[in-house]
Amino acid sequence: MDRVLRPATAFAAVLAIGLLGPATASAHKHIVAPGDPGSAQYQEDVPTAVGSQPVSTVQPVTSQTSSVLPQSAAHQLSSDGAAGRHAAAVATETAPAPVRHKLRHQRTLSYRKEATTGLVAGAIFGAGGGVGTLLPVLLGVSLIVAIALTMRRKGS
Amino acid sequence: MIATHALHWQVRAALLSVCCLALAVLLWTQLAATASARGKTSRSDYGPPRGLTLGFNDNEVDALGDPSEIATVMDRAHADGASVWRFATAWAALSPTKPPSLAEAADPNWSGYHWAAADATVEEIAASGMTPLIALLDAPAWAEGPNRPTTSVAPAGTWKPSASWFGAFATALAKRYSGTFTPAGSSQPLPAVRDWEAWNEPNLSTYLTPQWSASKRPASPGIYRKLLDAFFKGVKSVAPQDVVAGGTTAPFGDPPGGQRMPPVTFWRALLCISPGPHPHSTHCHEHDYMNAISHHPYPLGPPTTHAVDPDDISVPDLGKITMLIPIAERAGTLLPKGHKPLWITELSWDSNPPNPNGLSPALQAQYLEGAFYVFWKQGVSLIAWWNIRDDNYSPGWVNTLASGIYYAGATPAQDTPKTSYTAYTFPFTAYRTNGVAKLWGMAPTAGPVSIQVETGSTWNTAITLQAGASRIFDGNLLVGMGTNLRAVSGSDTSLTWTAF
Repeated sequence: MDRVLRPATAFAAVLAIGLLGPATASAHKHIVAPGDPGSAQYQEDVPTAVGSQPVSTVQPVTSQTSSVLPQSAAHQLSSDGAAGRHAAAVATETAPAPVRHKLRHQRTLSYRKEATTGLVAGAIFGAGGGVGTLLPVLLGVSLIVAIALTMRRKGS
Repeated sequence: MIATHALHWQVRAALLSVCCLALAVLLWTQLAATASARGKTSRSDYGPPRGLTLGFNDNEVDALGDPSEIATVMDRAHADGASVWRFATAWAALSPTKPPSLAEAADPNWSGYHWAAADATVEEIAASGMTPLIALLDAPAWAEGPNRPTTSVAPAGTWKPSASWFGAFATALAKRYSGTFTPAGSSQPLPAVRDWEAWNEPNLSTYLTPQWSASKRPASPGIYRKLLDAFFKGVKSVAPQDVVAGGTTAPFGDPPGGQRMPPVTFWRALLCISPGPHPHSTHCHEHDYMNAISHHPYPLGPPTTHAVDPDDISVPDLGKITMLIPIAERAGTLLPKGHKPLWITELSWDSNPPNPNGLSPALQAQYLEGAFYVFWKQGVSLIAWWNIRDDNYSPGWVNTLASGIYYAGATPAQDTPKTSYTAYTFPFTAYRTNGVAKLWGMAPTAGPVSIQVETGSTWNTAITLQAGASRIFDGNLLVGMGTNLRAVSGSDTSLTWTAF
């Protein structure tokens, strides 16, 4: 019986990780975005544990400059004085999402855990909110194992 | 005992197998449906368009009063590459008194209309060589609905505007700006207006109330649908070729019952599409009429930054709207069928100076051109930047948009260009993925565009692209991270873009 339940237990564990992952990843966000219209009607609010909060948006990103650019490029830019530092800041602030994602992934252990969980969740449930491809595969494997065990039991 | 145990074991295994099989079939079915939905979405025609029309909004320019000053700014706008000038005009200002009948409301010659300011703006826009895009808003008090709450709850001009009177007024507007209407006392017809927005940001209580019903269900989409449909029919009864855009939504919302409805919630309710990850038509037997889709995706930082809330729509999130369009068209909710251009009719970033909370001028410029590329990639065909020149200062900067591409001088003639002026007139971006920079830009004129790479202190041409009649050019170039690139078209040079 234990052997039969093992695939089901694993399946349940994967489901639990998948379900918990997105919840963990949706941590509260407080970002700061200079340049936005000052009027509150054009600022985003997001729900947090203490109620709706204005997303005064993305944190100033200049501190991340050296990580978005390769070390050599960052060093070269920083040695170019104010113009170089500005170019580095522009590169960082306009970095597309994957670069920022990678940066955060490298920097924060907790984020890495969330990202890993998110990857598993994405594989199972699909990144776009649909059903992923991994879950049916797992189910199929579970089915085959269950049938095989049944057959073996019958045979013995 | 052993036999019983084996039987239980077999029964459980069989049950588990059946459950797994059923679940697998169910999930495979959903997977197929998801893939099918994605396929349908991908068949929507919102890929990069051939061309991109640029324009401006600037309320303070519209209100300058001095025709020569207005002409100075509008001529400059056209010279800078803008071909559309969007201006919002209040129905309440044009029709402060109630016409005696719907028939007279549909007559542009009715004596109660106050056309002078709108006529002047339309004439200035046309004289500059641009085309006007008129957005209507603010109902007159006489056209608001019954049981109006206080203005603190429902600002003036927002409470359940009458669709029938709005439709009649749209008819008068379309007649007046048909291109053939000559006002009394004038010797020549007024210029034509071909592009319209039926209301402004109807998902904000600033412009339309109530946003939610007492049970916190979406209310404004239903009110807006009636206004839009009446406006559409009023305009089309006069000028079937005119373009009426729908939506014109603001980017961010609040939880149910708040002052703002999230734009995705608004669009879904408007188009009768279900919430959730697999949107489908609810077949509500309603009809929405529009020829184009418009939205105001004010940003949250760099132009690639997505809205945090899945129901909000910032610069890179336009797919949240365009994915709904084919669903509504297939269901027959959205009419008429056919491609609906995607318009961005408001967008801005402030600069510092003058706004201490703004971006550096260089960053404002980079974001502007970055946004233009992100929009183009999503199929946008019109971008109307908010402000050609900075607003006059108001305390706290809350209502001051320092988003111009010109610093405002004492008079428009004394304005000076910002860095974003170059970004607007010659946008160039080179977003890099896996070592390949996607080169994109809009040259000031058609013709060859040299893409140059900085090596040491010199610039060398790496590739030459061709800007067609739309002035758009695009290509790919293998570059290292941190490489400086720029585009050169004739004597014009874009800003430098650092590949990252």
